[in-house]
Amino acid sequence: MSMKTYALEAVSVLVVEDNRFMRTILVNVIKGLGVTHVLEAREGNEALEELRNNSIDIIIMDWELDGMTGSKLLQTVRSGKRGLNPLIPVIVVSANTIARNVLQARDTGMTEFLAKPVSAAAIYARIVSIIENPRRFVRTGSYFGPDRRRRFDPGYLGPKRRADDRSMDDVDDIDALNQA
Amino acid sequence: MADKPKVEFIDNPNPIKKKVRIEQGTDPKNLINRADKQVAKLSGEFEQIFADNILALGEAMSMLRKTDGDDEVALGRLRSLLHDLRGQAGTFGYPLVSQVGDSACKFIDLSEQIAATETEVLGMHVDALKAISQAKIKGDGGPIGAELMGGLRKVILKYNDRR
Repeated sequence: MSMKTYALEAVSVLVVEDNRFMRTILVNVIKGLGVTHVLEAREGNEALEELRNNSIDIIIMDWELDGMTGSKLLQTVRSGKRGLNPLIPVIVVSANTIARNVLQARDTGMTEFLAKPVSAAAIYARIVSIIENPRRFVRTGSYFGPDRRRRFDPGYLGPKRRADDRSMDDVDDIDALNQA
Repeated sequence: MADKPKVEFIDNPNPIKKKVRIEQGTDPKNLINRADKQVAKLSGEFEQIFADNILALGEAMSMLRKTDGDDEVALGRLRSLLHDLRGQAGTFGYPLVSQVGDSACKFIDLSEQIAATETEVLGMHVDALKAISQAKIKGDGGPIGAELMGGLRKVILKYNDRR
């Protein structure tokens, strides 16, 4: 199925990137895609201030930030503390594609991962994915964030690999009950 | 028996969907091309950053060689410059620069320590970047690019075999 064209002028995006030029690249792409409300932050504390003072729909953030790490920033966002929206979609952008880095971002609660160098097509595809395929959130003893399983099959009988996975009978899953 | 951990699922309200509208009959390629043009405006600035970074990489490499890799500040500076290049160059038509930068950063990140041998491997990466910059090799560099990347891969494989 071909990708749809979305008018994004009403969407607001926060770009968190410590490298000035990389930040400019990201802002130019996002504005070029039609987003008119783009805010910028150079580091984590500035990002949290922007998030608390503005209505923001999507965060696009670097993972290797100076000062507060990307991991700490994402953890703070997902905590929902002091007026933060814990459900906000977060696109993590990183040139570091070593598996442990990507898995760390996933396990901290990112919504999408985007490898640098970035392209307009790749950023647009991530935004479309957020619009068209919103993932439900999961809270376990050790994780809060978008469901790391992109597909949900209530009849799944295969191995359960999640650390604190349990049998379906134990899950407080309204979707599962609805689909059963 | 201990209580099993609780798993709670929360519906995603997806407020963004209410803020966007589909532009019927419009090809998203037009939107993407417009964004690409916005980025292309920055290519002159990137060329300057690339040239500056090559000089700075040479300086950081000299510092690192003086101590056979035992200079955390120089190593940090080197990685930072390589990391910036790998993250930006591909956007401006230099994917080979991104590949060389990525290879060097991964080598640093996955090495237990940086000593004389590791410093030489990094030096080969910096030399490759200098060559790409001087020859202004865009795209994947064709046969020259393949030779450069192949050479670096062989060096890393040989290094890994010796360990």
